[in-house]
Amino acid sequence: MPPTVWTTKRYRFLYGLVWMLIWGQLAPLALAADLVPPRPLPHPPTGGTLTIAYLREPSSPDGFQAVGSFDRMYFFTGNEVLVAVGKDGHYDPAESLAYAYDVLDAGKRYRFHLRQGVQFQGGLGEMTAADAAWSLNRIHQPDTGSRWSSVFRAFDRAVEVDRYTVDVLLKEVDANLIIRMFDRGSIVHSRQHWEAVGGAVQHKIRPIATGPYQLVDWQVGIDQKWVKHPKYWRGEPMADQVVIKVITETRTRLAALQTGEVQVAWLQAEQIPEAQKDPNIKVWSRGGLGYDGWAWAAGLPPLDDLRMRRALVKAVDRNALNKAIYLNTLQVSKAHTFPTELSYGIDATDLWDGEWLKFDPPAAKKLVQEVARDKKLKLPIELQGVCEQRPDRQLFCEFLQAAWSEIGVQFTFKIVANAAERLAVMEQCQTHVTQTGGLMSAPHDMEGALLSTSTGNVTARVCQDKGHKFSAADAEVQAEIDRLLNEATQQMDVDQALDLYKKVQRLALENLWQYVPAMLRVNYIGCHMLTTGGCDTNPLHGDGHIRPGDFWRKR
Amino acid sequence: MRKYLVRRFLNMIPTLLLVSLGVFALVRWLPSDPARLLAGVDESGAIDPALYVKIKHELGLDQPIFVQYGSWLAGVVRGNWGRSYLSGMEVLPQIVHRLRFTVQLALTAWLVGLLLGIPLGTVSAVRRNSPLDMAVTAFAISGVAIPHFWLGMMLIVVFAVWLGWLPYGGFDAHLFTSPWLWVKQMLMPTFVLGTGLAAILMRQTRAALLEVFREPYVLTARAKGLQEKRVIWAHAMKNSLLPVVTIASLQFGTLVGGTVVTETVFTLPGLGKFIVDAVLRRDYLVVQMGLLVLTVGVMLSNFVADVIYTYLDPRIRYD
Repeated sequence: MPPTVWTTKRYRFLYGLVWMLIWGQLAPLALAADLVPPRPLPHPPTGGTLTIAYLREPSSPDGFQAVGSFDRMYFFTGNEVLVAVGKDGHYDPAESLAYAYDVLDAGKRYRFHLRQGVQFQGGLGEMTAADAAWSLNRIHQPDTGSRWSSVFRAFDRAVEVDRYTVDVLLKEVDANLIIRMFDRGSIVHSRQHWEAVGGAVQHKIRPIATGPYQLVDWQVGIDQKWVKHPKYWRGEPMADQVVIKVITETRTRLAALQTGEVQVAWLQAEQIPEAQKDPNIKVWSRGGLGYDGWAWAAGLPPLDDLRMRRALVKAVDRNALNKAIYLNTLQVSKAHTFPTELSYGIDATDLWDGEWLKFDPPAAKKLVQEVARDKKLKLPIELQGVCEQRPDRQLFCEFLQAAWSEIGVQFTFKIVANAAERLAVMEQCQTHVTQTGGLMSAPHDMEGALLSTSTGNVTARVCQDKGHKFSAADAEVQAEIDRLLNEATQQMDVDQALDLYKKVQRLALENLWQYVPAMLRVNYIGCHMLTTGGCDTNPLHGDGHIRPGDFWRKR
Repeated sequence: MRKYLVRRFLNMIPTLLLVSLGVFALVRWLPSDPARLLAGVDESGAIDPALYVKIKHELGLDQPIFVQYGSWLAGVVRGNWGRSYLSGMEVLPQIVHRLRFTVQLALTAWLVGLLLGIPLGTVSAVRRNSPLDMAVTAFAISGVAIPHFWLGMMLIVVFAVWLGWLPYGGFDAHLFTSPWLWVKQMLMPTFVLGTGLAAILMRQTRAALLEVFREPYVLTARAKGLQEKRVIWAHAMKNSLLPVVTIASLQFGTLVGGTVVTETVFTLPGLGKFIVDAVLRRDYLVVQMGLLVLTVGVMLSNFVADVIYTYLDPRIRYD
């Protein structure tokens, strides 16, 4: 073989080897970057100020430290989660900081692949796995302002694998981890900024994250001003500034929308008919995000008797309730916690419309009389309740009061300022019924109200030590619900997990356990179409809230 | 007089201390507390008890009540008004921000009230039982009877939604840099508050003038053949203003803190709404400082009224 040929071949061989080595290093990165590209923003930048109106003050613009359910309206302006929920309610990699994840070690390790080039606001550099791991590890550290430890019970720790890969290690299998991470527990913040401002207290006022807008001013009870993050990873934000105004008075909020001074507004039930009449306003809604109804202390006589619980449900005309209080803007539940349209909702028409729970005051009265006779109670049977100081909720309690008075039950209730006080009253274990409602956007959310160890299950958790006693049948119901919910959490097969959640709902509804989801919630958003872009399709995401970065000002 | 002024100022201190103690005790008497709200209600409406205890400790709310009061008062004296339990922001700049707006609104509405109320009351008294008197009296009754909430809402619907002449509410204008916007944003809330005050002042002025008209010195003035204008402005008016000044000064105090409904309807960044929101959120420090500032405002307006008395009635001597 002539030396020149050998040299050429050797050269080619070496060339090929070098190329393979380089490609071997670059390919995963190149493929990774292309695997799920970021979804570009829906419109080129138009500038201007986008004004959004909401009904109340958020607890914090720092999503990780925000405690209110509806604070999501605000904090997604600037905060982003590792895995985002799309409009279909599922993981949307194109809008997530992690474009993909793997489930390893039989479900006890989740590996998240982070996007490259995601910049923090304020020129604080690129988001890396170190930031993501540090952010996630706040979950079990209360001094970081975390309120999510109980939500992420299975979470052990997060570790940085390389610059763009982070592992989440679990103490036990949690099939719902990704759904849990849709929410604020997995928001990624800049560790550098957190430490520079001195920790949680200051970060609560001036968070730095990766979202399209950065908070620059917050006047409590008035407004928040956010300016665009020019290096936002999905492109330049469409508005220059987003102002989120607190307009507590519902009619004023609608007026602000009608005049076009506000582009997007959160609307409440009573505003919907008026808003829909206005040709310049487009109203969007999303249902099945929770429920409104009442909860009760099933261990406090006479509610320890299922007949009594059935009687109270059968006495309430839920259609009239929807019409009178919610102006027909909620859904009268034919299911339990979730509507039948969702894969984990149950069709419980047979229970609601059948003999078991159908609205039937004479039958309800008969049940009350039976209970009174068997338990030697004097009629009317007295029940105590608690209700939040909010027009619709007070009306709700008054409605129950009137309905139950027809069947021989005297329901008296006290008014308290908020949900926390309502809970405090129930924890004293002297009150039978509380008006309640809950945001439930995923099946595991039921754990918070139904598990015997959960803080929401006051009777099982607190009142057993204060004299409440479940009947033998009810104790079995609680034990079975605990078993099913725990099994569902461990179940990696989605279909089997959904079956378990359906069983929980059926069991809970048959036994009217802990709470009665009389109505299913619907969230409403109104857009002023002459001045606002982003409302041609439903802007509400799977969690029932908007992302202010999805809207733009029309010129 | 100087002695009196100094004494009045010194008298404010025990009053303020008493108010501070009362406010401090009252807010803690309310059910629930900021730690409960900070601990957060989860999706099922529940709170983590361990977290609640921890937050309570961090906020110092587990200390004896007198220790809490003492440390708060010491902070106030040193100019450290503390931070809002819920937002984490300093209380002082937040109150100053809102006070700036509240004083503007209160002063404007107060001036509107005076400029409408006193002349109308005078006209009404002079033309007693005439159609004009009846019309003015009807205005006064309406001004007092129509709820601010309803009036404000109607104004918004008519002037903002239907006609589009005025903004629905909100306030971000500056009197000197954007005077026209300032006027537009102030117009409706000022009208709502000012007409209410004008109605009260009008009734008071009318009643006071009618009483003074029956006084012998007014009869004497008329008997001397003085012009009616001179009788009213030089003799009757000044003497009838004493009760009007009292009412006006008290009303100014009310305007500073008692405009919550108007602030809510028009989405105004006022101190009254700020305090009410803080009460609902159990943000103790904000409530305490806000009410203390309002108390100072009321005391100062009364103080000014006392000074004006000496000008209106030379018989009054405080020495």
